[in-house]
Amino acid sequence: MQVLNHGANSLTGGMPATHGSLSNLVTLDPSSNFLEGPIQEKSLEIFFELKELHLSWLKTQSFVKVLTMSNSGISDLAPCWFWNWTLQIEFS
Amino acid sequence: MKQIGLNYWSNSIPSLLELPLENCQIDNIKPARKTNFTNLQVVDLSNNNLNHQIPSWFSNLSTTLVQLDLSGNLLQGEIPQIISNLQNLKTLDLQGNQLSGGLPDSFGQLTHLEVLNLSNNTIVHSIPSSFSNLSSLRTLNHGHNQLNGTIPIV
Repeated sequence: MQVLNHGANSLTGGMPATHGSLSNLVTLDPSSNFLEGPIQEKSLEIFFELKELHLSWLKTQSFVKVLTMSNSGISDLAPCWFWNWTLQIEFS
Repeated sequence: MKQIGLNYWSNSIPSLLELPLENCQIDNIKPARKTNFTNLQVVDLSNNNLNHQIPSWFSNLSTTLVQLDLSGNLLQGEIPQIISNLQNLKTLDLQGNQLSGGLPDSFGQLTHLEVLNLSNNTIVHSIPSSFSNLSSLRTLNHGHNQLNGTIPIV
């Protein structure tokens, strides 16, 4: 999978794992939905109104170029590695 | 009013590979119940002024079709179930229209589909679970619609 754009709908629930590898993921946009639930390794879950953020799976996604989390409602401290990791992407 | 007829092309050059008709200010396509295309792989009608429903006869365009681009028009109504007749489609681009209604279950039969772009329409209801059959997908973009429900495994 290279592009997964669910953004700006009224989708609910979690974002399940994908059939294919995510190692080539270039764009991920789940923003502006009502997604919720825990973020798990190998699943693409960045949630609206998220209370806890577990993004460690992103560390290995070195091909991610665009990450959109606008209107996600996320509020917490981001782990230190996250800021280094975001140097490689266009953050919106 | 600018109308094109595909029968002319299909009768005069049945072996045509591509129909690149993007940015041609086309309003309307003359219905063609049956075409004689034998090798047609690409139909690009993007960025025209098509303002009707997606004609159901598109499903008979050619079994060899791998790319159908109808993006950037004013297409209305539901995506017809019968579009799944285009069994070899790899790219279906319907972004930037005024398509409404739900997504057809039959999409799940397009198992060769690699790129599906449905963004910027007014599509409602949930994503059919049959989307889980689209195991070749590289790009799935259904952003900026009115979809609800949960996301199936894709």
